[in-house]
Amino acid sequence: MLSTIERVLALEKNELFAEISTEGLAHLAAIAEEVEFHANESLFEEGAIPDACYLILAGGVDLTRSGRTELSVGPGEDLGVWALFDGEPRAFSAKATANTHALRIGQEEFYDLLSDHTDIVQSLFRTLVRRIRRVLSEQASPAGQA
Amino acid sequence: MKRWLQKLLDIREGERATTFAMITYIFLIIAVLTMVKSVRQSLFLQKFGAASLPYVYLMIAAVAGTIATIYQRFAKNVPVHRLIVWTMGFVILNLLIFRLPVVAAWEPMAYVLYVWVAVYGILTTAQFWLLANEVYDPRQAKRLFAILGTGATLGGIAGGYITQYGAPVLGTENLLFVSVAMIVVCAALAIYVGRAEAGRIQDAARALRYKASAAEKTAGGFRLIWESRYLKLVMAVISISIIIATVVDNQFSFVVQEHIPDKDAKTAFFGQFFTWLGWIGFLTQFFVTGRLVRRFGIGVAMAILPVALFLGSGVFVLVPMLSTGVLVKIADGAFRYTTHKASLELLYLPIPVGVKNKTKTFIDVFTDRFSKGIAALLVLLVTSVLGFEYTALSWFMMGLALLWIVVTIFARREYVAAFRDSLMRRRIDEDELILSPTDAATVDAMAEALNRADDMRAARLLELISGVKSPVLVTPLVRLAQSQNPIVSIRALDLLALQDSGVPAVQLLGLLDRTDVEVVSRVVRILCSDGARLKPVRLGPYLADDRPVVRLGAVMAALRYGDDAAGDIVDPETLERFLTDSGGQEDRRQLDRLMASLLRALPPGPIATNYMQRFLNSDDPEVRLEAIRAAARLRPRELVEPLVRALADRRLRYRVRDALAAYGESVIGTLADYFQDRRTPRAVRFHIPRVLERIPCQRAVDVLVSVVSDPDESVRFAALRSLGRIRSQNGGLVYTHEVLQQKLREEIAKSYRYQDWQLGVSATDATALLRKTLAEKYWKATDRLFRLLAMQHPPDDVYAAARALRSPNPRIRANAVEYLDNILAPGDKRWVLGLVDDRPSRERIERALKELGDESTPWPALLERQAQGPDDWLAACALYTIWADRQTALFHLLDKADGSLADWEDRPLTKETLSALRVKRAATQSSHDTDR
Repeated sequence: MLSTIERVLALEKNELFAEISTEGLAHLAAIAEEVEFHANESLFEEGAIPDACYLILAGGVDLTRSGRTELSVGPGEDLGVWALFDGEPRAFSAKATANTHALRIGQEEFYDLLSDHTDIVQSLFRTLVRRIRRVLSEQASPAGQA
Repeated sequence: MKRWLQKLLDIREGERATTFAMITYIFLIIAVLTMVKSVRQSLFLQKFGAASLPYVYLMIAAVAGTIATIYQRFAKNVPVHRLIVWTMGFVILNLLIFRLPVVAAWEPMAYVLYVWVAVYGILTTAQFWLLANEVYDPRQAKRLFAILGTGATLGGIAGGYITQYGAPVLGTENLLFVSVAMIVVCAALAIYVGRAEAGRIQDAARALRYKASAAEKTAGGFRLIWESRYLKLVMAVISISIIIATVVDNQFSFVVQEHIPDKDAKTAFFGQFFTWLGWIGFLTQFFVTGRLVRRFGIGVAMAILPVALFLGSGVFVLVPMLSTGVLVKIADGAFRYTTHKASLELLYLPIPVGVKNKTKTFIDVFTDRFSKGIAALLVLLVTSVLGFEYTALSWFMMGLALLWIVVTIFARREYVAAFRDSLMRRRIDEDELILSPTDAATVDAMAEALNRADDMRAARLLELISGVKSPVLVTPLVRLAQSQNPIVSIRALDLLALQDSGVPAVQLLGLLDRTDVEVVSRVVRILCSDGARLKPVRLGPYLADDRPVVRLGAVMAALRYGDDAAGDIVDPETLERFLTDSGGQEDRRQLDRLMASLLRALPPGPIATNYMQRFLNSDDPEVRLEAIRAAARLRPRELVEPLVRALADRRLRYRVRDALAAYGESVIGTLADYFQDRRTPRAVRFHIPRVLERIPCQRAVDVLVSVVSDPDESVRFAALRSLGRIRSQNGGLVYTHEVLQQKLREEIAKSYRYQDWQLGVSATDATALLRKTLAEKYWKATDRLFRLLAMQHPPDDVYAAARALRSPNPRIRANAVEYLDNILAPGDKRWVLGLVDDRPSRERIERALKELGDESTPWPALLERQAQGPDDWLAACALYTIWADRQTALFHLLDKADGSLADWEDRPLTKETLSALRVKRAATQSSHDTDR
């Protein structure tokens, strides 16, 4: 069982939460739940209604679509974040590739937290906008070069 | 000695090379000026005599004006350091031509040289200060302009000595070669500064960038000055000061001539006097100017010369002697090239770079010569035309000095406003669309637009034309009423109901199948109306309809749109039975939603209140929202407390705030009870300020102020944020509570403490979390500090300054500090600027903490202080750091966990951390035992 500080240290390493203040992360750590998955155990299925996002602490998870592995996620990385924000059905299935230790942040608790902590909302916005900009610039670069 | 000099000069790391180059640069410029001035003086007096001087003054005025105009056109798009190099090249070429035997022998050459020297002096010094303006930000300028001025003063002294000892050895004309060599060095220094400070010059351009109007882009310097109140005031200050300087000079010459008739004695007196004046100027510059400007700001620095001249002239009027005449000249000489010059250059700092480049040289050159011409005419008028004694000039000087002081006050005010504008310019202007669809042509155009509009545009257009009656609107409105977007449909139906005739009711019947009772009730209204009036007798079929939504819609239509008679049709007491009995097919949830929506139309009274209380406790958020909306409309007293408690629910909070605010001042007492009670759930307390800020009155302010010292940091922050919002939008409320001032001091002390701790923490991986937390704590404390300052100063400006302080552009940060320097009260200023100005210095923090009744805490003792402090999260971080950084001397703090965890009940994070660390230490101990 991790202490709040250890959870904070794990959360701050993740890009999504890196902008949030340490005290904000302590609040986030308080709603995060430690979960364990055995190898080959499913975290969620493609098309499922999202109810949480995950931060992998140890182990690994494969993201598959229509049976094909699209992405592998390892320690320090998050999964299920976009669905947490837009509420759209899961675009991938997620299955543990080894015994996996993760933090699970439930959607309802997460929104409750955001509603009381606008500083966390601002930090998340900054990170998400930066991600979008990066994606846009990655898309624009080849066209620009061409 | 080195430390003393460092402290006195206050040139900081990273500024030294450039500042040394700038000091050398101005030193050489002024030394050359003094030398060529001596040469021109000597040549001119030898050839034409003093009687010809007035003519050459007139020539200077004419030539300088022309050159200023040409220069500012030439200069507008060229970087200043490049412009300097070109100017220097031109100057060198001129000097070499002047030295040619043929040219030197040309009779009018002495006139040309006289005018040339005057233009050289103004142009090169103006360019130097233009460069200094771009290289230094406002905070550096306050420290360093005085030092640059010292270089100028020393240059004048050195130039005098070079002339004195060089002319007999080299010959007067050959001093021009020495000047050429010095100017070559100046050009090299300008190139060096331009390259070394390219980044800062770009920052300056960005910080003061603004969207120039087309007129500004094309306008010349004079027009820009004419259209700017600030530039006109700057020009007025310069003009008055030059007029007075010229009159002082004349008066001084008269005094000396009268009291020292012998020619040699006079020469000796002048020589001695100017040498001493140079040294007085130097000492003033070195010891007074910088400190004065930093301590008292630009206002006092600008006012010191006119005040000194006013007093000096007053003394001279009373006692017209050589000593008092000398006193006036010393007052002028001591402050003109020191405090006055430094503050004048500061005045240019907030001006956008493009405007500055176009206007500064124009103002400096043109104003100087023009004002000297005016002064010459004034002297002639007083002494020759009116025939007064020269002592009468002092009366004029006193009058002018008073005018100067008044202009200075206005200029200082505009200076602060200019900085404020540069901070606020970052805001986005909002366009406001104002339409007035009153004439037929506009309504036709609207109808046409409605026919083509999508839902979003239609909703906006319908809002704009609400209340407009016209047959041409009916067709598009009927189409829009069918929209699936309820807002569009409702707005179209509302507008249709107002139309006098021609509404095709049959096309609306299909809308009765909708589930939205708001749409249905409006359709029923139209179907049961004759023109714009609802006819109650027509409601019968709809009240008996099989569809509950239609029955409810009919009830709502009767309640909302009917007159008293229509209201009687529906007995409120039978409503529930009516709705439940007649249908019977719907599930309870659906029925509750329908009944709750009826609250929108129910009149105030016990029935409505009962419904609201019942629905406010519903499981269904939709039903609760209906009850809250109804509470906002009907405002029953019984609902206040349930509403306050509902603030804890994030899904309802937004509407609850609206509802409570709708009660107005009558609800403040209850809110205050909940807010001040620390047992109230935090989620409720945290959101009460948002309600209070919507009821802007003195009572709301007082309640918010009462919690600014609350132990809960987030509640304090919420109260301050709401106080700021009230203050931004409402004048006339009182915020000058002692408690706010006390709180300000506390936040200042806290900010210094966090700065001290940040500097003190050893930088290792194990301390990373603590360092990050301290940096965040510092920013939060300064944020609260600025919110408190916003209670005493214009809030929007203070917030703009606070935002600017976080800018990556150092020039923008410096602008913010300079603005704060000018608006804060002296008592607060010292502390606040000490926090935000430049980099934190250990010495400054220690001194501030001592004065604030605290003391600097060294590493690792500060960990002990944090671990035992009141901040739960900081204490947890400190305890973790003690363990992670292996601070064994402080492990006794971790041992506290063994026996007294109950002491930490109100500090859950500290308690949890101690508990976790105890487990870790036990594991480590056990592993060591196993190893043994």
